[in-house]
Amino acid sequence: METVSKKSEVLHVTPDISELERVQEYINSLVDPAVKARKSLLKIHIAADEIFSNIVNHSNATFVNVQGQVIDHEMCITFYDDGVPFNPLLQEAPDLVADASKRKIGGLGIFITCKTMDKVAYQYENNMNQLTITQRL
Amino acid sequence: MNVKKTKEASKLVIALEGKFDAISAPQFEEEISNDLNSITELYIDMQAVEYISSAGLRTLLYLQQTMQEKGRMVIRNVPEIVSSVFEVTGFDEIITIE
Repeated sequence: METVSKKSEVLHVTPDISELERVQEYINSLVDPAVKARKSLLKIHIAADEIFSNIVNHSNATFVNVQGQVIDHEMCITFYDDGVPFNPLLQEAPDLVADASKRKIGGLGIFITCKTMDKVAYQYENNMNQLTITQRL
Repeated sequence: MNVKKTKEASKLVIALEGKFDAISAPQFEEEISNDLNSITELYIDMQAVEYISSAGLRTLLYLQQTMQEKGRMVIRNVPEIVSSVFEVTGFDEIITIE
């Protein structure tokens, strides 16, 4: 069996970039070892990097909770934080055509996330930002 | 991320291995910034890069903008997962890839 249906425990981390490694290890723990080199899982690691980095750098959150599960070969991960309410899906797309000397990076992280994940959803509930990514493995 | 540097006169070749992410990218940028003063050619081999996030792109953009003024930068051996991030962000249009 390639991927196991599994409801995970919640990972509690502090909003510090050094915690990214624990987030990625947690994501790896959700899947069968055979899946770990797969491109779809690498995409999830990239999206997790972008989402967690944004929380760390911009949200003023005091905690981040991560909860994921794999059902029928589909991974679903939600990031919860108590930072400033912010829907990243409402941001303008970054300028992708500027030449290198003028190019800026702002907004690229969520853009990459939306382009590479099958689904990205946001809601603000219980005083928390809740951003969920879904990707077929 | 492991960084292996080989310098020949004004040419610097860097081989990267591991995750080019929000943790490693700023460290790599700091590590390499002093080396840029004395070179006109920068080659970055990405064959062993597991994946890249926008923090890695930010570092590549910084290197590209710095090298553009004084020489050239070339990215080599780009893995498929890195290549797909370059494509969706338009980075394949602004950096030289061999």
